[in-house]
Amino acid sequence: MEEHYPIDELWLRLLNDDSWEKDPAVRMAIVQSMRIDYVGCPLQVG
Amino acid sequence: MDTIQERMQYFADAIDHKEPKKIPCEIEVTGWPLAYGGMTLTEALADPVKGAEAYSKYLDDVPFDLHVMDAGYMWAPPIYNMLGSDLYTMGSDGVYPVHNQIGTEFASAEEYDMLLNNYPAYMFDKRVRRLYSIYDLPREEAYAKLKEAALATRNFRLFNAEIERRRLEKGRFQAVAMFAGGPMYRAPLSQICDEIRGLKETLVDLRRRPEKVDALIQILESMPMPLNPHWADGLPYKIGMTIYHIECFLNPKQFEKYFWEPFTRQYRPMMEQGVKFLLKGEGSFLNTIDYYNDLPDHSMIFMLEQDDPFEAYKIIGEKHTLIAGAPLELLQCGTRDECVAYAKKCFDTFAPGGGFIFGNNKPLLGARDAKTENIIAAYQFADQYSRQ
Repeated sequence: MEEHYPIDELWLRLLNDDSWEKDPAVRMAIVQSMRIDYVGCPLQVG
Repeated sequence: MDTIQERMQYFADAIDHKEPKKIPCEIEVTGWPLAYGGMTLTEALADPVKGAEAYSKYLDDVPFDLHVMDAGYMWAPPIYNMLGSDLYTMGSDGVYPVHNQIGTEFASAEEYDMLLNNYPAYMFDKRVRRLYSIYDLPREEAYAKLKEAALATRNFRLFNAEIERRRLEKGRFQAVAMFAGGPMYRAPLSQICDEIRGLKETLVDLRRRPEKVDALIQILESMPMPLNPHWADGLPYKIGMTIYHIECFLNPKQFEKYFWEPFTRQYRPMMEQGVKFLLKGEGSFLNTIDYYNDLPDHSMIFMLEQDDPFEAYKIIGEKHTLIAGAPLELLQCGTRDECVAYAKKCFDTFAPGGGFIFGNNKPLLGARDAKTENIIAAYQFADQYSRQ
């Protein structure tokens, strides 16, 4: 059966996952630029 | 070699309608330089530093002063593909991102109510799920795809950053500050056309459900793009930007209501303070040029697309600045002599007194957009003639 989960759940996990990028500042920059390009708004964090 | 500061001053003088020491020459490019350098985008993303080195070869062979917007890429089709979207697909030449607007599933007319009642829920959830099929996958599979896209984005950003570094190293600048948070106006109706309803349905909506369109525009107008107060720091000019997308298809009454009135309401005060706006239009829009004669002198810079600059010049004269001289159609189909003759005619007609920038009318997107020998001949001629 198809799962229907909040989109932001995946994006928050990506932001906090250091397995693909160790530097949290770089991770934040990449995730937020992807959010603008592929979602249309920045990820709300904090 | 001219320095960046010298080139910026040529540009500042030209748009202030003072005769510059050199007429600035600009070129708009996206994918073509990568083909010229002998690589595909997929190869460049796998090795972004080598990719940027290949991309930057044109900097040594094509003489010019500036990009109005920047070189490099805004969209990477392989990343869209990883996310399960065909919004941008790779062109057959391996360098050109094709915008699949015709194949995009936009909002239906019935979805206006959702848009009006809960805009974020539509735009940032329903629309996103429709465009990117990874969200149909189970969590772990979707996350693996998103992570793959993030790794590709890291290389994509490095590729663009390296292109910018090499451009600066070669003394070329990028003129419009929209990426630095400068003024940028895209009419809400064009946003509806581009992202929500598509061109055809937006035009239908203007006749069948104008009240819904107006209500959606009110929502969009309530979310203006923030202006960076330091957007023009250190620059010898101040340039914002506006674009036409749907505007070319509007009748005069619609154009006045959906573009001209809100644009001038918002930005005329800035123009009266010396800020200039670049208008980059898509298609033919000569019928709207006369409106701009109502604005402060020298406040606009026109980058035409399909229209004849000699006809535009009859309307704007010395009032505003014109970018012309290297039409893509001629670069693609003409001879070297024809390209040079056309460039010379543009210089001789438009350059005296300032208010002229030599440039192309459409960006060089792909490998086959123009004959390389024509590009080099036209820009070599322009570089020499612009100094006389």
